[in-house]
Amino acid sequence: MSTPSMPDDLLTEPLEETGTAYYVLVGVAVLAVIGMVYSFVTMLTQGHAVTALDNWGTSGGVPWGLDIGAFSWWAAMGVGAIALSAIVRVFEMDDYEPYARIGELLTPLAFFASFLHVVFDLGRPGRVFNTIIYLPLESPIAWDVILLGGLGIVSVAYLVVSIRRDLHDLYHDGVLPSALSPVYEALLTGYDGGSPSGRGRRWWLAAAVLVFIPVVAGGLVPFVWGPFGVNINWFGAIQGPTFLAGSMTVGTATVLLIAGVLRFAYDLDDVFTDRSMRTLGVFTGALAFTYMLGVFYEIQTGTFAADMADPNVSTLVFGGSLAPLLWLAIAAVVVPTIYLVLQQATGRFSLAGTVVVAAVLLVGVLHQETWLTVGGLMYPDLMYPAGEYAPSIYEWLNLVGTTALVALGLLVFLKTLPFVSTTATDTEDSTA
Amino acid sequence: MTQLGMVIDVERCYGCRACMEACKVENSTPRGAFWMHVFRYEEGEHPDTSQINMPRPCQHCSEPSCASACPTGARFKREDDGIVLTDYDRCIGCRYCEIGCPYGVNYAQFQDPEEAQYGHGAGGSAGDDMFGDDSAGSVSDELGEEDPGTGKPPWHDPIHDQEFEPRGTRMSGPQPEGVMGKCTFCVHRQDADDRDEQGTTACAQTCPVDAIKFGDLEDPDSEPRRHLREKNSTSTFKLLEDRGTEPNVIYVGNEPGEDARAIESAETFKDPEEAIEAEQNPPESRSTNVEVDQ
Repeated sequence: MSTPSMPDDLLTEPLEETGTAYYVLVGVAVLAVIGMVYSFVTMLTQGHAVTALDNWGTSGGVPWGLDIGAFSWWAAMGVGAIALSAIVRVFEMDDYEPYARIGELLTPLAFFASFLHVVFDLGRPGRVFNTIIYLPLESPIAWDVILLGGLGIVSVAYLVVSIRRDLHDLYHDGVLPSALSPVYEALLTGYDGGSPSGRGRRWWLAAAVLVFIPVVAGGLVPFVWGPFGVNINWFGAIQGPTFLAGSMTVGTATVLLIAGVLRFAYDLDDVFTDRSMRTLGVFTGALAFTYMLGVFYEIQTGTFAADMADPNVSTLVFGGSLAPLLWLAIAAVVVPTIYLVLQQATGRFSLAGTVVVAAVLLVGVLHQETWLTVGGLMYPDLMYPAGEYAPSIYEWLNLVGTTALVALGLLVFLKTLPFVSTTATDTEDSTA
Repeated sequence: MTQLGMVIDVERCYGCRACMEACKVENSTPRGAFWMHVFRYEEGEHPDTSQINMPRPCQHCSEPSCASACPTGARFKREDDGIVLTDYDRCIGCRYCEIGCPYGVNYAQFQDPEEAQYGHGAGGSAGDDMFGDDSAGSVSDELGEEDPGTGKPPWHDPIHDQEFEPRGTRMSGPQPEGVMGKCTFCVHRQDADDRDEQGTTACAQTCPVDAIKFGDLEDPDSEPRRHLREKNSTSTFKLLEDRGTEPNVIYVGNEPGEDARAIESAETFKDPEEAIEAEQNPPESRSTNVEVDQ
């Protein structure tokens, strides 16, 4: 593939040009984060009774809700974004280098948001690290903690390694804010400018990520623990592949959305081209289609539900109060998929349309993940009342807050790190 | 090896729910939490219907899926006697045990345990503060306690403050806010110095028809095993055995059939907030004023 050749001023524009819209976005994001902090403090001081959560069984509640749906969604986004980036690096798809950079920057933020939702959901958030201190290795969940935590650490290492070359160039060109010089110096420790031969650490890290991700995304853990008999029904079967497809869908859709916004804000039509965005769009659509198939299999077999569920849970959710929400979630995934595929088929492209359907797709998957979680906990097998749940204002504040926090992180990265990649071929970067 | 468990005779149980009440008093569980629950259900078609009552404590499984799900090991099976316990000092309140258990016996404490207790906020109107503070007319005064207002409300039984083996942490009674709790087979009794307390649970002791037999299921001479022998012509079952959890509560009687339907509606199980509201502002339909024609 050819290496995109861009004028440097175009690529450094996000670092140098700051318009009113940027400050407005930062202001809105800060307000939303304050709302999230308010929600968290309220839950800390008054308990989870302020949320819509309750115990299933005699209390007729649902113990997991929007926070767990959001946790899955953000974790999926982190997995998908880093996987997309790794695919671009490993297969040296130079045209998609700028998308890979977005994925790298997005991944740690998404994992952090995911972690925050776990913290919000815990009855004792101050004890969150008990999962590390007392890690019971016989528990499949412990291995999820280890593997997801490991991927989070790898994502940060991967980010640092992959931005060092651009960072080095921009830092020495004096484009980056001088106030952060100690940070840049630390990030560039041991970097000598790169040499033009062989595959660099970035390639190998990307390859490791690609090998690691199917394991994290529900592959190895159910394979190893499945035969042990006692399980909680969520390890194995179709869950692993579905989570992987969902992750790739959310990751690529988010990268597509961010790329669209960047292109609009900084006229980066030559970086995020019609062709590349259209192709990434159809890639997203194909993944979304695969995800939907997985979801249908989960619903059909009832494996989306916890072990306490009525054997007829699939019929119950299709016929119950959640049915309209299910169809809404399906529509929110299917309609964008059709749009993105049609763009490729007809050779047309709309930036606004692509950004909007990517956003709708993201909401659709979030909705689906939450629906699957809640629906699977609503209908007990024993003679308890069916559970009831509708997210409270505090759970919404949490979700809006983490979304704003990730946006805020990206806005900060936009002004402090090489957000738009100035490099293309990894082969030039053996010591990065 | 000891495995404490229960044999519950569904044929004897007549649904008085004294076991539920005894459990609440013994363990001071808050509103909405029923460590012992009685399923009251109906089977058959009118007019040939029958009502059955089935008490449901924690099943203290030999392969507890709640413990498998716990990401911190806070939920664990005690090797000495097979009781499944929650380490209140380690639990993070993720509710994974509640998700992993198919029996619905787990309760997360979603608010301050005191605020969730019966009678909270009832003071004021009658001057009888249920929480034993120093105000005049408190329950402590009514009871003539010598040292009222020690900061421990009447529902708080100090016996639950003790630390239990094998970890030396709190595991019995009402759990703190944000932590999981469930039936402990009255672990404070099993670990009591008083031998009369050992081998008993509040629910079994209170049952007026002796439908709940508690003891070591591994011991052929234990009360539950003897009861099983006495009723060897009656069918027995365990709840949701197909889940592979190997429960240690054995029911004597017929297993609930496909058409078994709960008698209570969801409204029966009011959540704590609704219960508090109902207590403080009883609906007119609950009025006890009865006009009697002279």
